[in-house]
Amino acid sequence: MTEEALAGVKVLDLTHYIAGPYCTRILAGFGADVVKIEKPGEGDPARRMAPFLDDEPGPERSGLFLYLNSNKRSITLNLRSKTGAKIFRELAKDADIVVENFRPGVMDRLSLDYQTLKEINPGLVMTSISNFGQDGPYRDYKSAHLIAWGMSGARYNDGAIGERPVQIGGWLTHYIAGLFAVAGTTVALYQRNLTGHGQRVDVSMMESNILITCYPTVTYSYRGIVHNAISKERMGLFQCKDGYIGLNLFGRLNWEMLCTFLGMPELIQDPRFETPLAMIEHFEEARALIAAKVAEREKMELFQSGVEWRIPLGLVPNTEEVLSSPQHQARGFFEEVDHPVMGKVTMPGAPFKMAESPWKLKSPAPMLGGHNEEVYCHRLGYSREELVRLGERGII
Amino acid sequence: MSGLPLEGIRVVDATNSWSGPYTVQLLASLGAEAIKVESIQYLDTWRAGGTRLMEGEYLWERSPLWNSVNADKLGITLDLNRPRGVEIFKRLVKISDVVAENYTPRVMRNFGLDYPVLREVNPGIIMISLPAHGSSGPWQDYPGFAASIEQMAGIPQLTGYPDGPPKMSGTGFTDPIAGTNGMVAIMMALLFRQMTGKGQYIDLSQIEAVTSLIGEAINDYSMNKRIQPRRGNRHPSMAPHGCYRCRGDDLWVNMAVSSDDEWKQFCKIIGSPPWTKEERFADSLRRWHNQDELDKLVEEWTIQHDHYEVMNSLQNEGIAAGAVLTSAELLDDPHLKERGTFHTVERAIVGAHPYPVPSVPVKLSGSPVTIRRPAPLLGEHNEYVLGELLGMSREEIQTLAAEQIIGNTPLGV
Repeated sequence: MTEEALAGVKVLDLTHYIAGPYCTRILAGFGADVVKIEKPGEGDPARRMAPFLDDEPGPERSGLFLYLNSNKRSITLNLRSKTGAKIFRELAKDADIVVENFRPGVMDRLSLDYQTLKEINPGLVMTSISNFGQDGPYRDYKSAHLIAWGMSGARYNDGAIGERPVQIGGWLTHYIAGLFAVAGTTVALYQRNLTGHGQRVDVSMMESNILITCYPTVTYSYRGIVHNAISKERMGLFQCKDGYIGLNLFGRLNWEMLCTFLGMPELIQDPRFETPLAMIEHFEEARALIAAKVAEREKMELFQSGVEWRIPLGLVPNTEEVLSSPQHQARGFFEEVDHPVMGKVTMPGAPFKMAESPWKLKSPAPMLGGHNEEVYCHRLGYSREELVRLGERGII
Repeated sequence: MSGLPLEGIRVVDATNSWSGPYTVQLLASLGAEAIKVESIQYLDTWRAGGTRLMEGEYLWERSPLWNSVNADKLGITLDLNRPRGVEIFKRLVKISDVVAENYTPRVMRNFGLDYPVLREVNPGIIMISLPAHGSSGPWQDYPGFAASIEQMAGIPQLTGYPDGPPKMSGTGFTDPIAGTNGMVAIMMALLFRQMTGKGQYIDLSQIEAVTSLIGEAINDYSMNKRIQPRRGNRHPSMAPHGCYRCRGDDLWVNMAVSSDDEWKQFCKIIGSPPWTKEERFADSLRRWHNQDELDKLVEEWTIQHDHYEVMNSLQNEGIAAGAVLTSAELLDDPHLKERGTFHTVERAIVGAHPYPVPSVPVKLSGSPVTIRRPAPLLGEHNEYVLGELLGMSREEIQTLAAEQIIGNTPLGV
């Protein structure tokens, strides 16, 4: 009996950078057979993105690429050549899913658009991830992590009006688009299994980020005021003796508990902090009082005792501390890959734990074109000689 | 092809706040019949979400956030602190496919409604728990909400300026990230069930789900022992790359110039002022090293223009730029209007408001999705669910109401 949610599901992965590869990383981790199709010679541009092992760039040394491409096989194929496109269509005949994140229109120009592929394989699910979606006035606009965040509506970092907005850390906006792409792809696959019909899934990075940051906009429509005034009541981050902690108060009761916890019970009766409006007005004073109390305490002690009091309080770990978290250790969240060039590297494993069809790490990110022979010869029946000729012509 | 993909799937939604409710809302949006279970003794805390500073009757029905994340669901009330409520919950589980909850593990256990029990009731059931820290480990019973999850996942340490403190997003965005992961998990389980007929239990830690989005920062530490610095609005190689003040009150534009060709186009657009020809900005490496000066000069231009205007003029020449959008602008944006990102829904007590269509980032060609029904009023579907689905008589339902096992008005209001 199978133990994989996506056992037997064949994915052709035309994606590059982050959003698309994150989508297919999740599919691969839950058992799909993902064949990553890369440009001959160069491969996925994420191979040229930091961090690199020992800070030395190289196509098989990128930590970003390593993280996003576990469990996949890599073949090279020049889709811009007629033969290359033809070979892709051969692969598409018995595939279940195609995922791509080219700019809208590119797949049409390659004669690999959904209509064409659907004729070859009516059950195919084709997922396209793009900056703004496959239609609408911004369809052909370019984007970037910074831009996607700015257009999502999440602008008042730490509740500051008038301050220069700043992007969220890492490459989160791309990952978020990739996450929604998994959602759409799995739903379409589920329906395909029932009806036999595939469909096109159109994922917009802009919309994905609007969805995950939509509180201020939903609230705005009701109250006509901007979000930041309210978020102040949560209090935010504070420096303590050995780092930072976050206070995330939700309502009056949390405030009263905090005052007692920090040994300032007199503040419960203080008119400066008695109502939501008063609290917003005297926000800086409240912060100063808290800051003075936590400055000399240690973060882990504050965290442990704070949660015992059930005060919503968070540690603010850096990546080293995330890696050494006792909770993550106990749950076995991190997995160690062993890559032929990069050696042993630790990184996040399953995004969630499924009891019957668990996440599995079967192989590290593939070497560029590392599975050409396996896929072209065994799956499509090309001979080794034909493979050599395709290589000479720059097709693979 | 017509019909929504998840028609015929029934979900019992015992979740609270935003994360778990968003998991179920995505399923509901795509066709599942989702039944939100609350009680008149203990309301979903999110019914207070965004109601600070609000006044009026039926305040629990006025939360913009609750009303947003519970659209497309049915709603019932059930007091799970009494055996009769627990028994009805189990009957509901018996005729359902999925149960979702996002409390710390002790809560469902104390109700006697944790997975081992529900599996007895319905062996094929798919159950997901998505508390802050997951359902195992030393911190499993620690509470955690959006902001603390953002912190614990390591995001603030990567956000902000290199010479400043860590920063928060200012919006509770980890809830929908965890929620979307939850929905993906349920889809994986439904696909597995299609093949094997088996249900299963899913244990989702919100912190793990969010930490999964910074994999490269984590493995940078593992490989190089580097704690990545905060990078403000900058990019490892592009320049200009930043957020610039525009004409008007607190209006901004982001831009990302990715090549020397784009830089030349950019110079043309801004009228090629003499500084653009200076040696220190001649190529991307030098621009990157001289960003402090460059940013000031770029802003001298942007500040004279509207942020939409800057976005459109740069984008028309193939340069990535985006206005930093306010809520009012999002609701009025021409692109989003054409894509149907927001949908206006009329609801009792609060009237008509626009809400983001929960599944809009994934447009399905076979089954276009919009919001089909507003979030339920408290206990609105008690009669349908208990009567039609569970076959209870009118008298039984009246008795439940009299005993306050069900109801439509919160107790103590």
